[in-house]
Amino acid sequence: MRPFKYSRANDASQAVQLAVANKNAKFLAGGTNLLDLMKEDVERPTELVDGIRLFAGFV
Amino acid sequence: MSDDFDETSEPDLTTDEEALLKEVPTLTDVGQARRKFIGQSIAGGLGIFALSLLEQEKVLAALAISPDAMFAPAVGVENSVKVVFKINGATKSLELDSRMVLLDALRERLELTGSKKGCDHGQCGACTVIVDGRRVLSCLTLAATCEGKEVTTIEGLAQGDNLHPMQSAFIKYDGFQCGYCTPGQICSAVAMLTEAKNGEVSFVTADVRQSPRSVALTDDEIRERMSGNICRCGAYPNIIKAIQEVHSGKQAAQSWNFHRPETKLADAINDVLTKEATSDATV
Repeated sequence: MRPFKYSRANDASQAVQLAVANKNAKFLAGGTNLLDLMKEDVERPTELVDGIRLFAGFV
Repeated sequence: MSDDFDETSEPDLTTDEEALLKEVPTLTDVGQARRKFIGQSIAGGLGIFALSLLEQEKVLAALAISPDAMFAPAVGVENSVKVVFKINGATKSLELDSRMVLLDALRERLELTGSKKGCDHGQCGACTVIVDGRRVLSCLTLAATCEGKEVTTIEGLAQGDNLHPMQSAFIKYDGFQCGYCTPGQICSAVAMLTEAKNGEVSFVTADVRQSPRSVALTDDEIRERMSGNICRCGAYPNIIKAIQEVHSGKQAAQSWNFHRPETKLADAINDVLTKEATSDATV
């Protein structure tokens, strides 16, 4: 897996700010799909914005 | 008899033939030098191998790992993340690479090797652990995302020497052969029963509209809900029996016992004694 920066978002606006600041950032909403693709070098985000706790509220 | 061939007697040779025979090298001398060389090479090779082993041994002995090493911050890591979470009741603080998944953190940093790495792609379920009461695939969960959460692995299910009911049931019903998928199966089964208790429906639930209350699990329900955990030995029927017993709470009598030499001996003595008694009675 390629190195990436891990950022934790505490609220929705912070999550959006983090994601907008980096063109190659991706939201992490659990990761069962994204992490698998990153292990296979299909997805290559340079930053992951962890919004698991935030997104859990919407499900 | 004069016709008999005498093997010990020298054949009749002319002087020329005898001279020729002396010049021919005997077979025992052929390749002597080569054999010696090969022998020396092997001995030399073994000697060098043994020396290198001794050297390795020395270097490894010098690399004694301090007990705190696993909690030490990762050296030279570009994206290190600090995570504090509860693992089997104990709070642990780790500084690790952002890429590290929970499974690797458990196995490589916390020495909890009960959870197994099967496919590392979330397809086999061998790495299943319980996070905040829900089963998750630890190979596809970043350790960094577990901040403040409570992780339970197979090591944390038993209370001391008292096995978790699911663990006992797996032993009772032979819910495994090689055992590689078992930690994942048991963690999955424990969390699955909680899900059913909370009335969570599955794909095969007949009526998903019914008000959320405890779902009674049929074998089909268990098969569907446990479909994320694959067992190569094919112990599924026994796994279902084990889960069904814990789910129903009705204990069936165990149909087998551990073999103990002393009980076998006692049985044999009893057999002999009863036989003697009956033969005495008939006399």
